[in-house]
This record gives sequence, C-alpha cells and structure tokens, in this order.
Amino acid sequence: MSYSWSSLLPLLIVLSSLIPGMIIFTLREDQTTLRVALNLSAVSAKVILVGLMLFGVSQGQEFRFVMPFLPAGNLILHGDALSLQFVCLSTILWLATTIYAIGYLESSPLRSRFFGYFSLCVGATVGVALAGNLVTFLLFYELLTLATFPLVVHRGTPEALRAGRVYLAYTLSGGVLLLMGVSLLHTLAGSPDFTPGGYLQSFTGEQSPSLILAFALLIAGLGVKAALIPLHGWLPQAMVAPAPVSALLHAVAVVKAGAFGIIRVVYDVYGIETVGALGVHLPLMALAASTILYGSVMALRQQEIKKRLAYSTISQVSYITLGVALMGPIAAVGALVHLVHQGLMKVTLFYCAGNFAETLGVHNVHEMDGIGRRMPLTMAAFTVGALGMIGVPPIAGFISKWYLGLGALEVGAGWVVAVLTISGLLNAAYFLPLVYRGWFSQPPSQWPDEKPLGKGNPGPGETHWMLLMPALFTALLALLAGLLAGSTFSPLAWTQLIINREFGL
Amino acid sequence: MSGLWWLVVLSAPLLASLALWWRPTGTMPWLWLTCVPALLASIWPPAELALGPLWPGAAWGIEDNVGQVWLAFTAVLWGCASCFAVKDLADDTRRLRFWTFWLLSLAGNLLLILALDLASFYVGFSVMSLAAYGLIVHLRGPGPRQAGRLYLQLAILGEMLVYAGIMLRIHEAGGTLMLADLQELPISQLTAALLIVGFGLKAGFWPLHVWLPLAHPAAPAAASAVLSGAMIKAGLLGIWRFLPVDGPVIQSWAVPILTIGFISMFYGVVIGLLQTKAKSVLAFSSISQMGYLLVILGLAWQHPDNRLLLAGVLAMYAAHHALAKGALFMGAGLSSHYRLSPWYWAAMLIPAVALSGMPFTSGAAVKTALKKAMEEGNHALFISLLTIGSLGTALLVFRAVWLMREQNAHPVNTAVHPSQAVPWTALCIAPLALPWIWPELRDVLVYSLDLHSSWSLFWPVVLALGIALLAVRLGIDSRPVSRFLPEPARWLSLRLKKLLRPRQARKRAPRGTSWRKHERHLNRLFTASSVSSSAWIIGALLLVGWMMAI
Repeated sequence: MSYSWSSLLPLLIVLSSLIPGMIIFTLREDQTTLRVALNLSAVSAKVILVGLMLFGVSQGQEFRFVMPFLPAGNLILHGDALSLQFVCLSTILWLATTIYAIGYLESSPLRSRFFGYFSLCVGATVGVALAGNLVTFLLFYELLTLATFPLVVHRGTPEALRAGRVYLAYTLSGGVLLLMGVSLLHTLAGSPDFTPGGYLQSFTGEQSPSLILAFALLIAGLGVKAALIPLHGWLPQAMVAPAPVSALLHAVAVVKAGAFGIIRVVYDVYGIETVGALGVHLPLMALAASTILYGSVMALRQQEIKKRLAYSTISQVSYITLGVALMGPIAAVGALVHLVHQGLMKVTLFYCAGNFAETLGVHNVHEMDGIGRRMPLTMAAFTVGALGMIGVPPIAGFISKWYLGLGALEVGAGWVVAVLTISGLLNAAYFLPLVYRGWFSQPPSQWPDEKPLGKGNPGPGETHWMLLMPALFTALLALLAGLLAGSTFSPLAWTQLIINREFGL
Repeated sequence: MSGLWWLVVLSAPLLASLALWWRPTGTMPWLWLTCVPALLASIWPPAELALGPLWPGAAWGIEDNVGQVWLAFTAVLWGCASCFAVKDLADDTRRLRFWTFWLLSLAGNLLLILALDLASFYVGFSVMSLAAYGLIVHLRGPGPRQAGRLYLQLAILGEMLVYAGIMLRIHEAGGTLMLADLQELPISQLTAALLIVGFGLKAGFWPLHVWLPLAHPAAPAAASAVLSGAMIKAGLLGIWRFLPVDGPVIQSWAVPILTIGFISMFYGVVIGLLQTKAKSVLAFSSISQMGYLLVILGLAWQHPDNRLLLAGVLAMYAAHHALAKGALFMGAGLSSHYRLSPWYWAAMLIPAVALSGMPFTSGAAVKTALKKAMEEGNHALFISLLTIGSLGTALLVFRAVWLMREQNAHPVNTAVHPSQAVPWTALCIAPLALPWIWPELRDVLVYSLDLHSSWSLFWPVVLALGIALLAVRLGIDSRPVSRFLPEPARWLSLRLKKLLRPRQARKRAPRGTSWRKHERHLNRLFTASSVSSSAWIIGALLLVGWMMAI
C-alpha cells in the first residue's frame, strides 16, 4: 500500500500530539525549557497541519488514511467537513490551554506527567474527531478515557482520587456499553466508513429491534461523556481537577467527544431517515430537554464557581444533543455550531474561574464581590462568557439559540422554544449574580489567598500573562463568532457547509 | 451619503469607549460628539447597507419617516445628555464604568433604530437593555440596588419573551429576516402576545410599568433623561415594527391596547401626584405619556387606512416627549445641585407646559395632530379624554416643578457650569423651536392656532395652574398617603432574589433534596464493585443482543 501526503495528513495530525506526549514522559522534572519548547512546537506543528487540511477540505479534497485492524473493520482516519469542525476547535483551544497550563503549573510538581497525559488527551480527541468508522472511533474514545484519568487525579488529594474513581467507573461502564453497541452493529453491517445519510437503511424492518437496541447502547455509552441525565454524576465531581484540565474537559475533550459521537451516530451511522423511521429520536429529544432544565436548576443551587460552571456544562452540551435529535437541517446547524460556541464560551469561563482561584484564592460565588475592580480584564472575559451562555446577542451563544429555535419550529416542535426560553431565564439566574458581584459589589479589604502573580495591579498585569492572555483570546473569539457569524471563516459558515453536505442540500 | 456611513454611526460610541480606557479625562468632555454621525445620518439618510459578515440578515438603513425622526431625537437627546453628564460625574471614582455602560447603551439604542432586519433589532435591544442596568445602579445604596434588580429581572424576562416571539414570528413569516416584510405578513395570537408583553416590559405602560418608577429616578440625572426620553421608546418601536399593519389578530388587539393606553394615561397622573420626589413624579409622567403613544398605536391598528397619518403623529409625539422629558429630568438634576436663578425656572416651565399641550409649543402641535386623527375615526369620547389628560399632565408637571423648587432650598452653589447649562437650555427651548425647523410639525401648529383649538388647549393648563396654586396655598400634602402605597413589585423582586440564592448547602444537607441522596447512592454502587457489576451488565446485555440478532 502506498501512501500519498493527503492520506498521511490525518495520521500526522493525530501523531503531532501523541508523539510529543510520549517524549514529554521521558523528560526530567527540571527540563522546563525543553518541555515548553516541545509543547509549543507540537502545538504550532498541529496548527499548520490542520490549516493545511482545512484548506484542502474546503477545496473539496479527500483526506483518508486506512490501515487493516479488525476483520471488516479497518482503522480509518478521515478528514471531512464535520471532523474538521471538531479538530479545529480542539486545536485552537489546545493552543490556548497549553499556554494557560504552562502558566498555571509553573512551579508545581509532576509537570512531565501532566503534560504527557495532556498531549495524549488531545491526540485522542483529535483521533475521535478524525475517526472514519465506528471501530476507530471506539478506539480513540477509550484512549481518551484513559488519558484523562491521570489529569483528573493529578492533584493526588483524597478528594481528587475519589473523583477519579467515580470518573473511571462512569466512563468505563459507558465505554463498555458503547463497545457492545459497536459490536452489535459490526456483526450486522460490518464497520464501513461514516457516510452522510447513514449505512443502515437496508437493515430496517426485520432487524429494527437490533438497531434500536444498538442505538440505545450507543447513546447510553456516549451519553456518559456527554453528561446526559442520569449519567452525568461524574462531571460535577471531576471539578477537583486543575483549571486547565477542567477547561479542556468541559470545552472540547471529554464532554464534546460524547456529543460529537452522538452527532456521528445519528447523521453518519444511522442517518436521519433511519433514525426517523425507528422513532428513536423522540426519547433522545426528551432526554436532552430534561437534561437542559435539570442542569440549569442544579447550577442555581451551587455555591462553588466551578461546580456551577460544571452543571451549566451539563445543560449546555445537551443543546447539541437536542439540536441533533430535532432532525431538521436548521436545528442541525444550531447543534453543530453550538459545539464550537459552547467550547469557546465555556473554556473562557473556566480560565477565568482558574484565574480567580490562582490569583486571589476565590473559589465561591460570594467571594467574587468586587473582583472586577481588582481583575477587570479577567472579569470582562468572564462577563462575555456568561452573557454568551445566556444567549445575549451579539455573543456566540445567541447564534446557536437562534438556529435551534428556528430549527425546532421548522420541524413543528414548538415546545423546544419554551425549553430554550426557560433555560435562558435559568442561565441568567445563575450567571448574572456572578457578574453583578464582580462588577457592582464592594471588594473585601483582603482577598482569601492573594498570590504575587503578575504586577498585582488592575489591568494587563492583574495576573500572570500566561493565565490572562488565553482567557482574553477565547473571549474575543466567542464575541467574534457571534458578531461576524455571517463571514466566510466563521463557525456558522463552516457548519452550513457541513449541513449542506450531510443533508444533501 | 454612502451606506458605509452607518458603520461610522455605530462605531463612534464603540471606538469612543476604547478611547475612554486609553485616556479617560481627555475623552469625557468630547463624548457627545459620538452622537453627531447619527444626527447627520438622520438629516441626510445614507443608502441602505447590507452587512453579510455580521449576523444572518444584517442590514441597516432608514426606510420610513418614523425611523428618521426616531434617530434624530435619539441622537439629539443622547448628545445633550452626554454633555450634561460630564460635570456631574467629574469627581466620581466609578465614572469609567458609567461611561462604558453609557456608550454601550447608546450603541444599542442607535442600532435598534437603524435596524432593517430582526436580528439587528434584537441585538441592539438586548445590548441597550442590559447596559442600561449599569446606569441605573450607578449611584450606591439600597434604592438603586433594588431598582436595578427589579429592572434586570424584568429586562431578562422581556428579553426571553422577545426571543420566543421573534422565533415564532420568523417561522410564521416563512423565514424572512427583514422587518419591512413583517408589515404585511399575518401573525398568530401567541406571537402577538409574546411580542407585546416582551417589548411592553421595556415600554413601561401600565401594567408592565412596575420597574419604571423605581429605576428612572434612581439613576444620575443625565441617565434618567435618556432612559425616560429615548430608551423607553425602543419597546414601542419594537411593537410597531414587528407586528403587521392589519389582520384579525391585530384588530382584536386594538381595543385592549387603546384601553391600556388610556388607563396608563390616568394611572400615571393619579399615582404620580402622590409622589414626593420630583424625579419620581417625572417617572410617573413618563408612564402617562407612554399611554398617549400607546393610544396612537391602538388607533393605527384600529384604522389601518390611517396608518401613514398616525405614523407621522407617533413620530412627532415621541420626539416631542423625548426632548421635553429629557429637559425636565436634567432640570431636576440641576435643581438638586445648584441654587437656580429665576431665569432657569422660567426655562424649566417651557418643557413643562409643552408636555401639557400649551399653545405655541410642540405639545400643542402633537395634541392637535392626535385630535385630528381621532376626529377622522369619529372618537368624540377619546377627544374629551385627551383634554382631561392634558389637565392631568399639567398638574403632574407643575407638581414636579414645585417639588424641584422645594428641594432646591439647600444648595449654595449658584454658578451652573456651561457644559450643563448649554445642552439643558437647548433642550428647554426645543419645544418652542422644534415646530419652526420641522415643516410637518409647523403645519399642525399653525392649524392649532385658531381660536377654538387654542382655547381647548389653553384652558386645561390654566385650570391646572389654578388648582396647583390652590393646593399650595391650602398646604395639601401627599406624604401621608404616599407612605401607604403598596409596592408589590419591589417585594416580589426581593422574594425572587432570595428564592434564587443558593442556600447554605452544607448545613441543610441532611434534610436537603432527595435527588442528591439517590445520586450519591448510585455513585457508591459504582465505586465499590464497578468491575464486577459492569461484567454482569455486559453479560446480560450481550445475551439480550445476541437473542435479538438471531
């Protein structure tokens, strides 16, 4: 078998974070410069490779890497428009998070271990995105589970270890369900490539019960990571992880891998028509809608900033699932674009929460009083993220809500607009108090645990620049993604390209 | 002018906010310049501009008389208020925050006026609503805080209702994103209700006014002026633009809207007269005046043939009220800071009597125009209600001016800074000058000058003056009554805040929710023997799957 550059590119993209990860494991703790250089060069290499692929795909070029793996199940890496959406998101956020993590962990122990697994985690995420069939998807999905565990327990405290155990129990069980679903489909149809419109149409009818069972298994397995109720229990507990990990976990890596899997299963394995014929989208829709409301209500009850953000993730990621389950092209645009928008906004919020905790020792909502006067730039980024989550225009979240609402009405599901409206109200109820406290309350005479990061005065030196810059960068992206939604390089434009290809419009 | 001018109009306030952070003290005195591009655009309207790169469907421009007038008075009022506010905030440590919110609200307000598509209107409306919160809570203390809380709660509620309404409206309209198309397309009952309530929460008519009497007086004087003059009218513009011209649903809403309009008109007067602070009286006067605008809207719905005429009346009334109310709010601000000379009090009376429809002012012109429109619809009752309304308005503004005088006793500072005196005087003279520079308004004013019309406009003002003087002579005091006025909205708002505040979770955990208990239980189940239990589940499921497959 001969390989051309276009078939090797997907592999190179995956390896560009796996191999540096492996090398970082071998580094000594004090080889800081080498490690940072390795990290940054891996990120830059990946950005260039992904840029190349993005250009190719937009020109209609095919990127496909095949390697024999299982009988009737090759290892396929395939760069199409949908996978590129997820790859781009993870690459950009990895870039920001790497810088953030370097600043965050500047003087803490076990950095080699951390950055090693960190790179593996991103490699696995990109693998999930580029996977060309279910078997490959499963492989990287499991790799992601394993690579993330050491990051969750990184601090090593009893609390972290307990959270890690819960995380592992949930995700491994989910992985097993997914494995069963995949193997069931594999025995039925083998593991052909993901195809727009699905490859299971010919099996409806006699095999419908198996298809329904396999769908339930797949969704249950993916739903663990996508934090659908009642499988969400691990997510709020995994909050003990360091801030960059939480950021990555919530914005791209784990949660999004689940949501992305659901998108793949519905669009490219079963296909819209088959899912509609089996009627399995209705329970999924109900589940997603109740998760949206449940997550919002639970978020209201949290005192800890990161916990509140975690429940907010549960709610927001289900927007994606809901949009997919609505089965219409406009709702699909809303779902896919929210994959990116939620990532940008949530990562911003977690960076900011991390900045507050690291710089001033602020962990709880009521400690945020007047923080905008001490850290105005971080608070500004936080405000952009929070308002975007509520769906306030012109920040990215409003574009998602706009398309989800219109898409729901298009398929005649008017009640979804009510769900989105109530969720918006609840979002406002748990995000606006934070914004209010930050900007309008009186700051305390002394912060809980102030550390000498940066220059210590409000403005560009309010904290370490490596902590501040990523937050500002992603907040700006979240703003621009909404403001310039109609431009050709926006997530919305790319999403419309995907949907046109998926729905054959 | 080229359509690109619209970009200048909107980027002016946004760029100014950047300049503000870079060099605060140097920029502040010149912030009023950010309104000049908008004013120029309203005089010489640029071509329409479609903005592909922005949100879907974005297009800006002015396509009717209403939009043009709206943009003009908004720009003038914001410009004067910007100039006025500088001195008030000169020693304020949080002025940077104030100006940032100010410029954001300004940008939102301008955007919603020049929006030709739904999304732009929604963006502008939301930005303005939320940024205005920063203006309301600017002064410290429990009053502004509670007012701001109630404002924000209702603004968010309105925002979400508008969101739902817009979604339904686009769907009903077959996916069109342009506001102009909506004028002809039918609407459903639910959509109409969502949009009227959603926008009505901003427009502040009875019974959706509850936030207004708290919020408008709580802000600094310049901010009250723009809140009551310009921003409040955005809600009405929204209803005007989003609902169709005619149709069975619109017809069924016409009478309720007219009724609500008249109730607001008199409710504002009655409750306003009981208030003991000048700015509160003025806020209630705004509620009453929004009633007039609502009546115009209701008439336009009842008589779609008359819409063009009524659109003109609506624009005139909105402009007249914005400038006069702005002048009065700023005057209230002046009177609490300075000991004003009689000249100032004379100037203050111009917008006051103009609001009540005194002949030779813009008030006389707009009231006559409204009466003319009512005559064409054969509403004799409405015309007499309008005359009584003028009496009420006159009483209300006289009370406001009287309260300003009363509260003016303390300050010793007599020299009003020119940066405040000039824009304020300009606004005070506006009711006299406006008819002479605006041909449509001049025509109605000339029409109102015959003896009969003049007399019907004149006697309510004189009668109100007589009643006011009598009340002062007899020493009638509303203080005992006003203390017992219920404020259910403030109470509900506090309850809501307490309801939403997370309880001290740790302490209440034992008798907390049962959800969490079950969740924990489930977690424990998984941690202890996850491998073996998973193995069992796998086995069982494989069996089921295998049986189904064969």
